[in-house]
Amino acid sequence: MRPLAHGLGARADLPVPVWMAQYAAALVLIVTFFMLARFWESPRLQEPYRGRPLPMGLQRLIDAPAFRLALRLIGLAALLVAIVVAAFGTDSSATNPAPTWLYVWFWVGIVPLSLLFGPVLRAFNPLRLITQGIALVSGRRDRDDFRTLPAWVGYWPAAAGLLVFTWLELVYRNPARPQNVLTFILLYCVVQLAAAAVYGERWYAHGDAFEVYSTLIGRLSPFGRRPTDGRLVLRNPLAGLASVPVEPGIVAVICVLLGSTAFDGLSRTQWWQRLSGQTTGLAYLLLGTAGLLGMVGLVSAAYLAATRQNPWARRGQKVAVERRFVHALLPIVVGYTVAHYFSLVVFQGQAGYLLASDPLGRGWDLFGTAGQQINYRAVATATIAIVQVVAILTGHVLGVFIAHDRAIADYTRSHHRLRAQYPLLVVMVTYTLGGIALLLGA
Amino acid sequence: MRESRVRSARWWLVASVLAVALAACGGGDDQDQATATAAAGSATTEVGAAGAQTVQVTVAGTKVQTAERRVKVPLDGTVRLEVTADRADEVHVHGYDRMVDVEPGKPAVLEFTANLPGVFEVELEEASLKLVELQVQ
Repeated sequence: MRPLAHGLGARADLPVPVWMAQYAAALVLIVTFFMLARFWESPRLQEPYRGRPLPMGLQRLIDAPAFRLALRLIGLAALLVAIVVAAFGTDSSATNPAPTWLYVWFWVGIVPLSLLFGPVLRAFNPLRLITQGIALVSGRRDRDDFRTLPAWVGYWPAAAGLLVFTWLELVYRNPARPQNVLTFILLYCVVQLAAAAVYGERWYAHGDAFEVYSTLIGRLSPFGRRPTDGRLVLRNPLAGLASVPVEPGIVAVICVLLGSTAFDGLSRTQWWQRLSGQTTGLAYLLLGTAGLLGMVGLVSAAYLAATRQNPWARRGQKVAVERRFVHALLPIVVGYTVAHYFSLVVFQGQAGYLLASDPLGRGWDLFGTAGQQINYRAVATATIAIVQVVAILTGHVLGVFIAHDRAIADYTRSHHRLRAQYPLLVVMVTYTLGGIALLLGA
Repeated sequence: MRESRVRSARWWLVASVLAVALAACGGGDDQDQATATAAAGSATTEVGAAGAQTVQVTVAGTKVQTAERRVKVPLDGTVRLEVTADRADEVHVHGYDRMVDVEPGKPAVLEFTANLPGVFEVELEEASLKLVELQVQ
Protein backbone atom coordinates (compact mmCIF):
# COMPACT_ATOMS: atom_id res chain seq x y z
CA MET A 1 0.00 0.00 0.00
CA ARG A 2 1.33 3.40 -0.79
CA PRO A 3 2.50 5.69 1.98
CA LEU A 4 0.26 8.58 2.79
CA ALA A 5 1.06 11.21 0.24
CA HIS A 6 2.61 11.08 -3.21
CA GLY A 7 4.22 7.75 -2.41
CA LEU A 8 6.79 9.82 -0.60
CA GLY A 9 6.98 11.30 2.82
CA ALA A 10 6.14 9.40 5.94
CA ARG A 11 3.96 12.11 7.37
CA ALA A 12 0.67 13.76 6.46
CA ASP A 13 -0.83 16.99 7.76
CA LEU A 14 -3.24 17.11 10.64
CA PRO A 15 -6.82 17.83 9.68
CA VAL A 16 -8.10 21.36 10.25
CA PRO A 17 -11.67 22.15 11.38
CA VAL A 18 -12.89 22.98 7.89
CA TRP A 19 -16.27 24.61 8.37
CA MET A 20 -14.81 27.76 9.85
CA ALA A 21 -12.28 28.16 7.04
CA GLN A 22 -15.03 27.44 4.50
CA TYR A 23 -17.43 30.11 5.76
CA ALA A 24 -14.63 32.66 6.05
CA ALA A 25 -13.36 31.90 2.54
CA ALA A 26 -16.81 32.03 0.92
CA LEU A 27 -17.52 35.33 2.65
CA VAL A 28 -14.21 36.89 1.60
CA LEU A 29 -14.77 35.87 -2.03
CA ILE A 30 -18.27 37.28 -2.21
CA VAL A 31 -17.32 40.54 -0.48
CA THR A 32 -14.32 40.92 -2.82
CA PHE A 33 -16.56 40.36 -5.81
CA PHE A 34 -19.03 43.08 -4.90
CA MET A 35 -16.30 45.51 -3.89
CA LEU A 36 -14.74 45.01 -7.32
CA ALA A 37 -18.08 45.44 -9.05
CA ARG A 38 -18.54 48.75 -7.26
CA PHE A 39 -15.05 50.24 -7.38
CA TRP A 40 -13.07 48.61 -10.21
CA GLU A 41 -14.61 50.08 -13.30
CA SER A 42 -11.96 50.09 -15.99
CA PRO A 43 -9.59 47.25 -16.94
CA ARG A 44 -6.13 47.60 -15.43
CA LEU A 45 -4.60 44.17 -15.94
CA GLN A 46 -4.76 43.74 -19.69
CA GLU A 47 -1.27 44.91 -20.67
CA PRO A 48 1.13 42.15 -19.72
CA TYR A 49 4.24 43.80 -21.09
CA ARG A 50 3.87 47.29 -19.71
CA GLY A 51 6.55 47.85 -17.12
CA ARG A 52 10.00 49.11 -16.38
CA PRO A 53 12.70 47.61 -18.66
CA LEU A 54 15.59 45.86 -16.89
CA PRO A 55 19.03 47.51 -17.13
CA MET A 56 20.65 46.82 -20.49
CA GLY A 57 23.68 45.19 -18.89
CA LEU A 58 21.55 42.62 -17.10
CA GLN A 59 19.57 41.93 -20.26
CA ARG A 60 22.79 41.38 -22.25
CA LEU A 61 24.02 38.89 -19.67
CA ILE A 62 20.73 36.98 -19.63
CA ASP A 63 20.49 36.88 -23.41
CA ALA A 64 24.14 35.93 -23.96
CA PRO A 65 24.38 32.58 -25.82
CA ALA A 66 27.04 31.41 -23.37
CA PHE A 67 24.69 32.09 -20.45
CA ARG A 68 21.81 30.22 -22.11
CA LEU A 69 24.13 27.32 -22.87
CA ALA A 70 25.43 27.27 -19.29
CA LEU A 71 21.88 27.01 -17.90
CA ARG A 72 21.02 24.09 -20.17
CA LEU A 73 24.30 22.36 -19.34
CA ILE A 74 23.32 22.64 -15.65
CA GLY A 75 19.95 21.14 -16.59
CA LEU A 76 21.65 18.32 -18.47
CA ALA A 77 24.00 17.59 -15.56
CA ALA A 78 21.06 17.48 -13.14
CA LEU A 79 19.19 15.09 -15.43
CA LEU A 80 22.19 12.77 -15.79
CA VAL A 81 22.89 12.73 -12.04
CA ALA A 82 19.23 11.89 -11.36
CA ILE A 83 19.32 9.05 -13.91
CA VAL A 84 22.56 7.60 -12.52
CA VAL A 85 21.35 7.79 -8.91
CA ALA A 86 17.96 6.30 -9.77
CA ALA A 87 19.63 3.51 -11.74
CA PHE A 88 22.57 2.60 -9.53
CA GLY A 89 21.47 3.69 -6.04
CA THR A 90 19.49 1.56 -3.60
CA ASP A 91 15.96 0.52 -4.54
CA SER A 92 14.16 2.40 -1.77
CA SER A 93 13.08 6.02 -1.53
CA ALA A 94 14.13 5.95 2.14
CA THR A 95 17.80 5.77 1.12
CA ASN A 96 17.81 6.84 -2.54
CA PRO A 97 17.40 10.61 -3.07
CA ALA A 98 16.23 10.38 -6.71
CA PRO A 99 12.48 10.04 -5.94
CA THR A 100 12.59 13.06 -3.61
CA TRP A 101 14.45 15.00 -6.30
CA LEU A 102 11.79 14.20 -8.89
CA TYR A 103 8.59 14.58 -6.85
CA VAL A 104 9.61 17.30 -4.41
CA TRP A 105 12.55 19.32 -5.70
CA PHE A 106 11.71 19.23 -9.40
CA TRP A 107 7.93 18.90 -9.60
CA VAL A 108 7.12 21.21 -6.68
CA GLY A 109 10.17 23.43 -7.19
CA ILE A 110 8.96 24.39 -10.68
CA VAL A 111 6.24 26.51 -9.09
CA PRO A 112 8.19 28.95 -6.85
CA LEU A 113 11.04 29.29 -9.36
CA SER A 114 8.69 30.03 -12.25
CA LEU A 115 6.68 32.42 -10.08
CA LEU A 116 9.84 34.37 -9.32
CA PHE A 117 11.75 34.25 -12.59
CA GLY A 118 9.32 33.27 -15.35
CA PRO A 119 9.73 30.25 -17.67
CA VAL A 120 12.74 28.71 -15.90
CA LEU A 121 12.31 25.21 -17.23
CA ARG A 122 12.57 26.44 -20.80
CA ALA A 123 15.87 28.05 -19.82
CA PHE A 124 17.22 24.90 -18.15
CA ASN A 125 15.55 22.29 -20.38
CA PRO A 126 18.26 19.70 -21.17
CA LEU A 127 16.09 18.06 -23.83
CA ARG A 128 16.21 21.25 -25.86
CA LEU A 129 19.99 21.11 -25.64
CA ILE A 130 20.05 17.51 -26.89
CA THR A 131 17.70 18.36 -29.74
CA GLN A 132 19.90 21.33 -30.68
CA GLY A 133 22.96 19.06 -30.59
CA ILE A 134 21.31 16.53 -32.88
CA ALA A 135 20.24 19.31 -35.24
CA LEU A 136 23.81 20.60 -35.34
CA VAL A 137 25.23 17.18 -36.17
CA SER A 138 22.56 16.18 -38.70
CA GLY A 139 22.49 19.60 -40.36
CA ARG A 140 18.69 19.91 -40.02
CA ARG A 141 18.58 23.39 -38.70
CA ASP A 142 15.86 25.13 -40.71
CA ARG A 143 12.28 25.38 -39.57
CA ASP A 144 11.32 23.85 -42.91
CA ASP A 145 13.21 20.67 -42.05
CA PHE A 146 10.54 19.80 -39.51
CA ARG A 147 6.84 19.23 -39.64
CA THR A 148 4.52 21.91 -38.30
CA LEU A 149 2.38 20.97 -35.32
CA PRO A 150 -1.27 21.29 -36.45
CA ALA A 151 -3.00 24.25 -34.82
CA TRP A 152 -5.71 22.12 -33.20
CA VAL A 153 -3.10 20.18 -31.22
CA GLY A 154 -2.21 23.23 -29.13
CA TYR A 155 -1.43 22.27 -25.56
CA TRP A 156 -3.18 18.89 -25.61
CA PRO A 157 0.12 16.90 -25.54
CA ALA A 158 1.16 18.80 -22.41
CA ALA A 159 -2.22 18.14 -20.79
CA ALA A 160 -1.77 14.43 -21.54
CA GLY A 161 1.77 14.46 -20.17
CA LEU A 162 0.65 16.11 -16.95
CA LEU A 163 -2.14 13.58 -16.57
CA VAL A 164 0.33 10.71 -16.97
CA PHE A 165 2.72 12.19 -14.42
CA THR A 166 0.00 12.88 -11.85
CA TRP A 167 -1.35 9.36 -12.45
CA LEU A 168 2.08 7.97 -11.63
CA GLU A 169 2.37 10.22 -8.59
CA LEU A 170 -1.11 9.72 -7.15
CA VAL A 171 -2.58 6.49 -8.50
CA TYR A 172 0.24 4.07 -9.21
CA ARG A 173 1.13 1.81 -6.31
CA ASN A 174 4.85 2.46 -5.97
CA PRO A 175 5.55 5.84 -7.55
CA ALA A 176 8.50 6.52 -5.27
CA ARG A 177 10.40 3.34 -6.04
CA PRO A 178 13.67 4.42 -7.66
CA GLN A 179 13.23 1.88 -10.48
CA ASN A 180 9.86 3.39 -11.37
CA VAL A 181 11.32 6.88 -11.19
CA LEU A 182 14.08 5.76 -13.57
CA THR A 183 11.62 4.18 -15.98
CA PHE A 184 9.48 7.30 -16.02
CA ILE A 185 12.41 9.66 -16.62
CA LEU A 186 13.84 7.53 -19.43
CA LEU A 187 10.49 6.96 -21.15
CA TYR A 188 9.62 10.63 -20.86
CA CYS A 189 12.92 11.72 -22.40
CA VAL A 190 12.64 9.22 -25.25
CA VAL A 191 9.08 10.27 -26.13
CA GLN A 192 9.96 13.97 -25.97
CA LEU A 193 13.14 13.60 -28.05
CA ALA A 194 11.29 11.53 -30.64
CA ALA A 195 8.52 14.12 -30.94
CA ALA A 196 11.12 16.88 -31.23
CA ALA A 197 12.86 14.91 -33.97
CA VAL A 198 9.65 15.21 -35.99
CA TYR A 199 8.43 18.69 -35.02
CA GLY A 200 11.71 20.39 -34.16
CA GLU A 201 12.59 22.31 -31.03
CA ARG A 202 9.28 24.14 -31.22
CA TRP A 203 7.68 20.94 -29.91
CA TYR A 204 8.79 21.57 -26.34
CA ALA A 205 6.80 24.77 -25.92
CA HIS A 206 3.61 22.76 -26.55
CA GLY A 207 4.45 19.16 -25.80
CA ASP A 208 6.84 19.09 -22.86
CA ALA A 209 4.44 18.90 -19.92
CA PHE A 210 6.91 20.29 -17.40
CA GLU A 211 8.08 23.15 -19.61
CA VAL A 212 4.49 24.11 -20.41
CA TYR A 213 3.66 24.02 -16.68
CA SER A 214 6.65 26.21 -15.86
CA THR A 215 5.96 28.69 -18.68
CA LEU A 216 2.32 28.92 -17.63
CA ILE A 217 3.16 29.63 -13.98
CA GLY A 218 5.82 32.06 -15.25
CA ARG A 219 3.06 34.25 -16.70
CA LEU A 220 2.45 35.23 -13.08
CA SER A 221 6.05 36.30 -12.54
CA PRO A 222 7.19 39.91 -12.18
CA PHE A 223 9.39 39.52 -15.29
CA GLY A 224 8.11 39.48 -18.85
CA ARG A 225 9.65 39.72 -22.30
CA ARG A 226 8.13 42.40 -24.51
CA PRO A 227 7.27 40.67 -27.83
CA THR A 228 7.88 43.85 -29.85
CA ASP A 229 11.57 44.30 -29.08
CA GLY A 230 12.50 41.39 -26.81
CA ARG A 231 13.21 43.64 -23.84
CA LEU A 232 12.82 42.15 -20.38
CA VAL A 233 10.49 44.21 -18.22
CA LEU A 234 9.61 44.33 -14.57
CA ARG A 235 5.82 44.34 -14.48
CA ASN A 236 2.74 43.83 -12.36
CA PRO A 237 2.57 40.01 -12.06
CA LEU A 238 -1.21 40.04 -12.23
CA ALA A 239 -1.07 41.88 -15.55
CA GLY A 240 1.31 39.18 -16.77
CA LEU A 241 -1.57 36.73 -16.58
CA ALA A 242 -3.25 38.48 -19.49
CA SER A 243 -0.55 36.90 -21.68
CA VAL A 244 -1.73 33.35 -20.97
CA PRO A 245 -2.15 31.85 -24.45
CA VAL A 246 -5.60 31.03 -25.74
CA GLU A 247 -4.62 28.03 -27.87
CA PRO A 248 -6.54 24.73 -27.80
CA GLY A 249 -5.87 22.52 -24.78
CA ILE A 250 -5.00 25.33 -22.40
CA VAL A 251 -8.18 24.74 -20.40
CA ALA A 252 -7.31 21.04 -20.22
CA VAL A 253 -3.81 21.75 -18.88
CA ILE A 254 -5.17 23.89 -16.05
CA CYS A 255 -8.05 21.53 -15.26
CA VAL A 256 -5.65 18.55 -15.04
CA LEU A 257 -3.55 20.51 -12.54
CA LEU A 258 -6.59 21.47 -10.45
CA GLY A 259 -8.29 18.09 -10.73
CA SER A 260 -5.21 16.10 -9.73
CA THR A 261 -4.82 18.23 -6.60
CA ALA A 262 -8.46 17.61 -5.80
CA PHE A 263 -7.95 13.87 -6.29
CA ASP A 264 -4.97 13.84 -3.98
CA GLY A 265 -7.16 15.43 -1.31
CA LEU A 266 -9.93 12.94 -2.00
CA SER A 267 -7.57 9.96 -1.86
CA ARG A 268 -6.47 10.96 1.63
CA THR A 269 -9.98 11.00 3.09
CA GLN A 270 -10.91 8.12 5.36
CA TRP A 271 -13.83 7.39 3.04
CA TRP A 272 -11.57 6.85 0.03
CA GLN A 273 -9.01 4.89 2.02
CA ARG A 274 -11.72 2.50 3.25
CA LEU A 275 -12.92 2.11 -0.34
CA SER A 276 -9.48 1.56 -1.90
CA GLY A 277 -8.31 -0.55 1.03
CA GLN A 278 -10.68 -3.29 -0.12
CA THR A 279 -9.19 -3.48 -3.60
CA THR A 280 -5.97 -5.04 -4.79
CA GLY A 281 -3.97 -5.21 -7.99
CA LEU A 282 -5.78 -4.09 -11.10
CA ALA A 283 -8.96 -3.09 -9.27
CA TYR A 284 -6.92 -0.71 -7.10
CA LEU A 285 -5.41 0.94 -10.17
CA LEU A 286 -8.75 1.17 -11.95
CA LEU A 287 -10.40 2.74 -8.92
CA GLY A 288 -7.60 5.29 -8.60
CA THR A 289 -7.68 6.05 -12.33
CA ALA A 290 -11.44 6.54 -12.19
CA GLY A 291 -11.03 8.82 -9.17
CA LEU A 292 -8.37 10.94 -10.87
CA LEU A 293 -10.29 11.23 -14.15
CA GLY A 294 -13.47 11.89 -12.21
CA MET A 295 -12.00 14.82 -10.31
CA VAL A 296 -10.43 16.31 -13.47
CA GLY A 297 -13.84 15.88 -15.14
CA LEU A 298 -15.70 17.56 -12.30
CA VAL A 299 -13.36 20.54 -12.21
CA SER A 300 -13.54 20.93 -16.00
CA ALA A 301 -17.31 20.53 -16.16
CA ALA A 302 -17.84 23.18 -13.49
CA TYR A 303 -15.57 25.64 -15.28
CA LEU A 304 -16.95 24.97 -18.76
CA ALA A 305 -20.52 25.26 -17.50
CA ALA A 306 -19.76 28.63 -15.97
CA THR A 307 -18.18 30.04 -19.12
CA ARG A 308 -19.80 28.29 -22.07
CA GLN A 309 -23.33 28.11 -20.81
CA ASN A 310 -23.28 31.77 -19.98
CA PRO A 311 -25.57 33.46 -22.55
CA TRP A 312 -24.03 36.93 -22.14
CA ALA A 313 -20.47 35.83 -22.39
CA ARG A 314 -21.04 34.39 -25.84
CA ARG A 315 -21.52 37.53 -27.84
CA GLY A 316 -19.01 38.84 -30.29
CA GLN A 317 -16.04 36.72 -29.24
CA LYS A 318 -13.42 35.49 -31.67
CA VAL A 319 -11.79 33.26 -29.08
CA ALA A 320 -13.87 30.73 -27.17
CA VAL A 321 -15.07 32.29 -23.93
CA GLU A 322 -13.65 29.55 -21.74
CA ARG A 323 -10.17 30.38 -22.98
CA ARG A 324 -10.66 34.10 -22.38
CA PHE A 325 -11.20 33.44 -18.68
CA VAL A 326 -8.94 30.46 -18.03
CA HIS A 327 -6.07 32.63 -16.80
CA ALA A 328 -8.22 33.47 -13.77
CA LEU A 329 -7.75 29.85 -12.67
CA LEU A 330 -3.96 30.10 -12.66
CA PRO A 331 -3.59 31.87 -9.29
CA ILE A 332 -5.94 29.18 -7.94
CA VAL A 333 -3.63 26.46 -9.27
CA VAL A 334 -0.71 28.15 -7.52
CA GLY A 335 -2.69 28.53 -4.28
CA TYR A 336 -3.60 24.85 -4.22
CA THR A 337 -0.07 23.82 -5.08
CA VAL A 338 1.26 25.75 -2.09
CA ALA A 339 -1.47 24.40 0.21
CA HIS A 340 -0.97 20.89 -1.07
CA TYR A 341 2.81 20.61 -1.08
CA PHE A 342 3.99 23.05 1.59
CA SER A 343 4.58 20.48 4.32
CA LEU A 344 5.93 17.94 1.85
CA VAL A 345 8.58 20.45 0.80
CA VAL A 346 9.58 21.54 4.30
CA PHE A 347 9.79 17.96 5.62
CA GLN A 348 10.37 15.47 2.78
CA GLY A 349 12.33 18.16 0.89
CA GLN A 350 15.04 17.78 3.54
CA ALA A 351 15.59 14.18 2.42
CA GLY A 352 16.76 15.49 -0.95
CA TYR A 353 19.99 16.81 0.56
CA LEU A 354 20.26 14.47 3.57
CA LEU A 355 20.29 11.44 1.25
CA ALA A 356 22.49 13.17 -1.34
CA SER A 357 25.48 12.49 0.91
CA ASP A 358 25.29 8.82 0.03
CA PRO A 359 23.38 8.77 -3.27
CA LEU A 360 24.42 5.30 -4.39
CA GLY A 361 24.18 3.54 -1.03
CA ARG A 362 27.91 2.89 -0.78
CA GLY A 363 28.42 4.31 2.70
CA TRP A 364 29.74 7.65 1.44
CA ASP A 365 29.28 10.91 3.31
CA LEU A 366 29.83 13.58 0.64
CA PHE A 367 28.18 16.51 2.39
CA GLY A 368 28.37 15.37 6.01
CA THR A 369 24.62 14.76 6.21
CA ALA A 370 24.62 10.94 5.98
CA GLY A 371 22.50 9.24 8.61
CA GLN A 372 20.73 12.43 9.67
CA GLN A 373 16.97 12.28 10.15
CA ILE A 374 14.29 14.59 8.76
CA ASN A 375 13.46 17.30 11.29
CA TYR A 376 9.68 17.04 11.64
CA ARG A 377 9.59 19.96 14.02
CA ALA A 378 11.10 22.45 11.56
CA VAL A 379 7.68 24.05 11.12
CA ALA A 380 4.78 23.99 13.60
CA THR A 381 1.56 22.27 12.58
CA ALA A 382 -0.44 25.46 13.21
CA THR A 383 1.81 27.32 10.75
CA ILE A 384 1.15 24.66 8.12
CA ALA A 385 -2.62 24.98 8.54
CA ILE A 386 -2.47 28.79 8.31
CA VAL A 387 -0.29 28.68 5.18
CA GLN A 388 -2.74 26.26 3.57
CA VAL A 389 -5.86 28.32 4.23
CA VAL A 390 -4.19 31.61 3.27
CA ALA A 391 -2.77 30.11 0.03
CA ILE A 392 -6.12 28.74 -1.12
CA LEU A 393 -7.95 31.94 -0.25
CA THR A 394 -5.36 34.25 -1.86
CA GLY A 395 -5.47 32.18 -5.05
CA HIS A 396 -9.23 32.49 -5.28
CA VAL A 397 -9.38 36.19 -4.42
CA LEU A 398 -6.81 36.89 -7.16
CA GLY A 399 -8.87 34.70 -9.49
CA VAL A 400 -11.93 36.88 -8.86
CA PHE A 401 -9.82 40.01 -9.56
CA ILE A 402 -8.54 38.60 -12.84
CA ALA A 403 -11.94 37.41 -14.03
CA HIS A 404 -13.47 40.78 -13.18
CA ASP A 405 -10.79 42.68 -15.06
CA ARG A 406 -11.22 40.48 -18.14
CA ALA A 407 -15.00 40.83 -18.00
CA ILE A 408 -14.89 44.62 -17.99
CA ALA A 409 -12.33 44.55 -20.80
CA ASP A 410 -14.42 42.19 -22.95
CA TYR A 411 -17.92 43.56 -22.37
CA THR A 412 -18.99 47.11 -22.79
CA ARG A 413 -22.46 46.99 -21.30
CA SER A 414 -22.31 47.19 -17.55
CA HIS A 415 -25.01 44.59 -16.89
CA HIS A 416 -23.28 42.11 -19.21
CA ARG A 417 -20.01 42.71 -17.41
CA LEU A 418 -21.42 41.74 -14.08
CA ARG A 419 -23.62 38.89 -15.26
CA ALA A 420 -20.76 37.30 -17.16
CA GLN A 421 -19.01 36.89 -13.84
CA TYR A 422 -21.81 35.47 -11.67
CA PRO A 423 -21.40 31.88 -12.87
CA LEU A 424 -17.64 32.13 -12.48
CA LEU A 425 -18.06 33.44 -8.95
CA VAL A 426 -20.26 30.45 -8.13
CA VAL A 427 -17.59 28.13 -9.52
CA MET A 428 -14.84 29.82 -7.52
CA VAL A 429 -16.83 29.63 -4.29
CA THR A 430 -17.55 25.96 -5.05
CA TYR A 431 -13.87 25.22 -5.77
CA THR A 432 -12.86 27.00 -2.56
CA LEU A 433 -15.29 25.13 -0.34
CA GLY A 434 -14.49 21.81 -1.99
CA GLY A 435 -10.75 22.47 -2.00
CA ILE A 436 -10.64 23.37 1.66
CA ALA A 437 -12.74 20.33 2.60
CA LEU A 438 -10.57 17.95 0.54
CA LEU A 439 -7.13 19.35 1.27
CA LEU A 440 -7.48 20.32 4.89
CA GLY A 441 -10.20 18.08 6.24
CA ALA A 442 -8.83 14.67 5.29
CA MET B 1 -33.47 38.46 -24.30
CA ARG B 2 -36.32 36.91 -22.33
CA GLU B 3 -35.17 33.48 -23.31
CA SER B 4 -31.70 34.16 -22.04
CA ARG B 5 -33.12 35.49 -18.77
CA VAL B 6 -34.98 32.23 -18.26
CA ARG B 7 -31.85 30.26 -19.10
CA SER B 8 -29.77 32.27 -16.68
CA ALA B 9 -32.34 31.80 -13.92
CA ARG B 10 -32.23 28.06 -14.48
CA TRP B 11 -28.44 28.13 -14.46
CA TRP B 12 -28.41 30.01 -11.21
CA LEU B 13 -30.73 27.52 -9.60
CA VAL B 14 -28.52 24.59 -10.61
CA ALA B 15 -25.34 26.37 -9.51
CA SER B 16 -26.63 27.36 -6.11
CA VAL B 17 -28.01 23.89 -5.45
CA LEU B 18 -24.60 22.48 -6.37
CA ALA B 19 -22.76 24.89 -4.10
CA VAL B 20 -25.06 24.22 -1.16
CA ALA B 21 -24.87 20.47 -1.70
CA LEU B 22 -21.10 20.60 -1.76
CA ALA B 23 -20.90 22.67 1.40
CA ALA B 24 -23.35 20.32 3.12
CA CYS B 25 -21.26 17.36 1.98
CA GLY B 26 -18.14 18.76 3.57
CA GLY B 27 -19.93 19.39 6.85
CA GLY B 28 -21.55 15.96 6.87
CA ASP B 29 -18.27 14.18 6.37
CA ASP B 30 -16.80 15.93 9.33
CA GLN B 31 -19.57 14.94 11.65
CA ASP B 32 -19.45 11.33 10.51
CA GLN B 33 -15.76 11.25 11.09
CA ALA B 34 -16.07 12.79 14.54
CA THR B 35 -18.74 10.39 15.72
CA ALA B 36 -16.97 7.40 14.22
CA THR B 37 -13.72 8.13 15.98
CA ALA B 38 -15.50 8.94 19.22
CA ALA B 39 -17.38 5.63 19.20
CA ALA B 40 -14.39 3.56 18.19
CA GLY B 41 -12.09 5.43 20.53
CA SER B 42 -13.87 4.26 23.65
CA ALA B 43 -13.93 0.69 22.41
CA THR B 44 -10.31 0.20 21.44
CA THR B 45 -7.63 2.44 22.71
CA GLU B 46 -7.24 2.12 26.39
CA VAL B 47 -4.89 4.10 28.53
CA GLY B 48 -2.84 1.65 30.54
CA ALA B 49 -1.68 1.96 34.11
CA ALA B 50 1.66 3.38 33.00
CA GLY B 51 -0.12 6.06 30.96
CA ALA B 52 0.67 4.42 27.62
CA GLN B 53 -2.04 4.41 24.96
CA THR B 54 -2.43 0.88 23.63
CA VAL B 55 -3.27 0.26 19.96
CA GLN B 56 -4.03 -3.34 19.03
CA VAL B 57 -3.89 -4.68 15.47
CA THR B 58 -4.51 -8.21 14.19
CA VAL B 59 -3.56 -9.31 10.67
CA ALA B 60 -4.87 -12.43 8.88
CA GLY B 61 -4.03 -12.71 5.18
CA THR B 62 -4.76 -9.27 3.76
CA LYS B 63 -7.40 -8.52 6.39
CA VAL B 64 -6.39 -5.99 9.01
CA GLN B 65 -8.41 -5.79 12.21
CA THR B 66 -8.29 -2.62 14.24
CA ALA B 67 -10.93 -0.72 16.12
CA GLU B 68 -10.06 2.50 14.30
CA ARG B 69 -8.20 3.16 11.09
CA ARG B 70 -6.86 6.39 12.56
CA VAL B 71 -5.95 6.64 16.23
CA LYS B 72 -5.64 10.02 17.90
CA VAL B 73 -2.59 10.29 20.14
CA PRO B 74 -1.67 13.31 22.27
CA LEU B 75 1.67 14.92 21.39
CA ASP B 76 4.45 13.64 23.66
CA GLY B 77 2.19 10.82 24.90
CA THR B 78 3.39 7.19 25.01
CA VAL B 79 2.04 4.77 22.42
CA ARG B 80 2.06 1.01 22.90
CA LEU B 81 1.54 -0.77 19.60
CA GLU B 82 0.57 -4.46 19.78
CA VAL B 83 0.54 -6.26 16.45
CA THR B 84 -0.44 -9.91 15.95
CA ALA B 85 0.10 -11.35 12.48
CA ASP B 86 -0.26 -14.75 10.80
CA ARG B 87 3.24 -14.54 9.31
CA ALA B 88 6.73 -13.30 10.02
CA ASP B 89 7.17 -9.70 8.94
CA GLU B 90 8.26 -6.32 10.18
CA VAL B 91 6.07 -3.55 11.63
CA HIS B 92 7.19 -0.09 10.54
CA VAL B 93 6.01 3.22 12.02
CA HIS B 94 6.69 5.76 9.25
CA GLY B 95 8.13 9.13 10.15
CA TYR B 96 9.28 7.86 13.52
CA ASP B 97 11.12 5.08 11.68
CA ARG B 98 10.49 2.57 14.45
CA MET B 99 10.62 -1.09 13.47
CA VAL B 100 9.81 -4.32 15.27
CA ASP B 101 9.84 -7.93 13.99
CA VAL B 102 6.67 -9.91 14.28
CA GLU B 103 6.48 -13.73 14.47
CA PRO B 104 3.39 -15.72 13.39
CA GLY B 105 0.82 -15.72 16.19
CA LYS B 106 3.01 -13.94 18.71
CA PRO B 107 2.11 -10.32 19.39
CA ALA B 108 4.91 -7.86 18.69
CA VAL B 109 5.05 -4.87 20.99
CA LEU B 110 6.50 -1.46 20.19
CA GLU B 111 6.41 1.33 22.74
CA PHE B 112 7.54 4.86 21.95
CA THR B 113 6.92 8.51 22.74
CA ALA B 114 4.84 10.30 20.09
CA ASN B 115 6.93 13.46 19.92
CA LEU B 116 6.39 14.40 16.23
CA PRO B 117 3.08 16.05 15.26
CA GLY B 118 1.26 14.91 12.14
CA VAL B 119 -0.45 11.85 10.71
CA PHE B 120 1.80 8.79 10.42
CA GLU B 121 1.21 5.43 8.85
CA VAL B 122 1.98 2.09 10.52
CA GLU B 123 2.73 -0.56 7.92
CA LEU B 124 3.47 -4.26 7.72
CA GLU B 125 6.60 -3.77 5.67
CA GLU B 126 7.08 -6.94 3.56
CA ALA B 127 3.39 -7.33 2.85
CA SER B 128 3.03 -3.58 2.12
CA LEU B 129 -0.08 -3.69 4.25
CA LYS B 130 -1.31 -0.54 5.98
CA LEU B 131 -2.25 -1.33 9.57
CA VAL B 132 -3.34 1.92 11.14
CA GLU B 133 -2.65 5.66 11.12
CA LEU B 134 -1.50 7.59 14.16
CA GLN B 135 -2.77 11.14 14.36
CA VAL B 136 -0.41 12.87 16.79
CA GLN B 137 -1.50 16.32 17.97
